[in-house]
Amino acid sequence: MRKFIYIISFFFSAQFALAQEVPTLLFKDILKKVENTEGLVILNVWATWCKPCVAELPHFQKVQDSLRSQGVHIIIASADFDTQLPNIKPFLDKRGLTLDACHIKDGGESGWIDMFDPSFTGAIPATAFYLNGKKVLFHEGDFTEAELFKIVNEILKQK
Amino acid sequence: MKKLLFALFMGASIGVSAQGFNLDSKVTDFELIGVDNAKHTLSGGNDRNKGAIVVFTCNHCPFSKAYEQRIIDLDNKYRSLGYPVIAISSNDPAIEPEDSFEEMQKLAAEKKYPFPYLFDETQEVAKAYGATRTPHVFVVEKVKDAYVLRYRGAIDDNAKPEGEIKKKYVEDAVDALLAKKKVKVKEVKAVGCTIKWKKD
Repeated sequence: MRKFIYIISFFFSAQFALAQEVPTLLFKDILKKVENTEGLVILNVWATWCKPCVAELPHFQKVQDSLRSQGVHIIIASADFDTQLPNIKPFLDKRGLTLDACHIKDGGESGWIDMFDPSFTGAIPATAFYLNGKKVLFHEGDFTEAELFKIVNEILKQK
Repeated sequence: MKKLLFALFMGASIGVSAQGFNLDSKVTDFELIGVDNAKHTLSGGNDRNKGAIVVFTCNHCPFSKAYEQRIIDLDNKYRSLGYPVIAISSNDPAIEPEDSFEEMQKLAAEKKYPFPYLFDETQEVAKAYGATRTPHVFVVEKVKDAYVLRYRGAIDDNAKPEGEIKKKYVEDAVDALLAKKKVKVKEVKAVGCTIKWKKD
């Protein structure tokens, strides 16, 4: 019986540990989610090792916090190595970031880079804006907080 | 609407659009200072060179670090065959102090780089080639007195240091050129650090 409880508790703790990781998804499935979401969806590709990416994450958090009621939804997709997967959630938690996060499962092969945008060269950060499932803007590079708010407000005006 | 956003975006004057040279077109030679304090050009190496493997890289980027040994290996394998590595860092040290010329000198000495490591201080070479990330490789073939771009992109299909590599794109390209064959895969995109452009 004790063994049984041990096994059960191990199973639950394993489940718990899994819940501490961000989901790892194929890029096409991330895009499907984006394209099936109404309102303004911002998809940002970042990585824990990428300094400019990490520096702009708080800007996305601010936009998310202040404009959620206006139908803004932000997804941050990490391009980290899959070995880094267990560290992504703690990395975000430590910085107080509660953004909708996932990990890009597509390794090595570069197909997803063109899928994101044909002009995307792979240099991150990179961000795309979708209005009611249609991409309206793609940007390779980072944003200041002011730039990000300006673009988001401009797109929201077009809604 | 798209137009408006575009205008708005351009107004914000962010991002550098790097087009660069076309595949199978001539590239421009450059003259840059290396960590050895000497000037280096694309054409200035050994007369028997058949081309070059130009690698835009840098000190600080984790992807550059992950590929460092593989870049050294490329030079060791292909230098004597006529395709030496020429490494270039175009990052603005004001943004990334680890990429200063002095730090480049230190790293090259520490890792005993067998290839020239050049500082593209004005960032003009990166812009001309259309390099956007590190590492970003350009394989050029010498055709008469000119250099022609034959491959652009990633070194292989797995940046992970311990990862399994299935495709070695740069080696495949250089091997094809050495065998006087056409390069089959001419461009492969991969994730990398952005080149740290100077703020206007």
